[in-house]
Amino acid sequence: MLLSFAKWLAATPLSQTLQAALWVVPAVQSVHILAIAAVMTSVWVLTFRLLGLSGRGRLVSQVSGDVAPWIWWALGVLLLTGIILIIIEPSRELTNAAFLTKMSLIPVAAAPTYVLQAAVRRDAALWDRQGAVSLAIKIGAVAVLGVWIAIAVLGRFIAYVEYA
Amino acid sequence: MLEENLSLIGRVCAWIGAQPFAVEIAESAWLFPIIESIHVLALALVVGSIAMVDLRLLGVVAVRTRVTERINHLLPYTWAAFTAAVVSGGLLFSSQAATYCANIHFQLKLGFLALAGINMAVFHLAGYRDVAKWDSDIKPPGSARIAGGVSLSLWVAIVCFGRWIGFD
Repeated sequence: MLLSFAKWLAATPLSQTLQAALWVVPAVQSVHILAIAAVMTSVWVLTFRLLGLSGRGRLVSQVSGDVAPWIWWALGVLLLTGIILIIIEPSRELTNAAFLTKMSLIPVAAAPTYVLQAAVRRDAALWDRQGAVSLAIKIGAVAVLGVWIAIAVLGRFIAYVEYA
Repeated sequence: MLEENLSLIGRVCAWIGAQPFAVEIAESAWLFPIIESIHVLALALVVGSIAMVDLRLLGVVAVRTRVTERINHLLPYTWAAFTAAVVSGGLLFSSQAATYCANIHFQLKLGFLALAGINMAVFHLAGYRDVAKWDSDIKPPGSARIAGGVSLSLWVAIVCFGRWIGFD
């Protein structure tokens, strides 16, 4: 079903027009990478703050509030640029195991990231207390960082995995 | 003179490309994408952390955070990730050294990296020295805003050139 949808999409005038302009793919991918930079740096900085590995002079609530807009704005840009890339080469993505795995992992990473930020925003004083971040939260944060990393790596592997 | 220098670069590239690790990366199906993934993660942290500092210098984000607080927090990420990006990038380069050397987007990327380094050095030696005076300013002085704007523009260009290498 995805394959026939991909074939239909590739034949649409919009896809045909974008395919003809050879600079569009590298340009949109470049914007995609810049947005990846915003998300990865934000998640990394927040995780390391929770672990107490960096930014200890700053409160957890400060760091969380600081990076939150970067993550959600950048995810919006990633969605938009990602859709454009799919329109241009639908089967390259839609029938690609790396792409499909990556997409299924995005909610796995985004949901706990959102829940954590919402919790910190709701009760900043609690999170800013010394030793407020439990071991379970730390382990969870590292796991979520790992999923974000896997998403980025799988994104790069789209180019190396065979597709229909 | 120029031709001699060019042939020297050509010989260096040929020598790098002949190293066992370079041959291994070139011949393996998975080493290149794995190293490339590390390069993407590293450059993401380099560009992300630099952009977050640049936009503070421009007075666009985190304007209530002191400039030094933000720089001290983020600069270790920049340097650690930059080291990883240089090592992984060097390995990627070695697999096709002569081809990359002759690639215009690769050349532009290296040139812009050098400009970004110069811009940062100038800022540290000049505009940043009296940061104590404007540390808490929502809008830092002109020299800091220019350094931030130039840095941000150069790094966006570096990412674009880097991505373009794969399409040549």
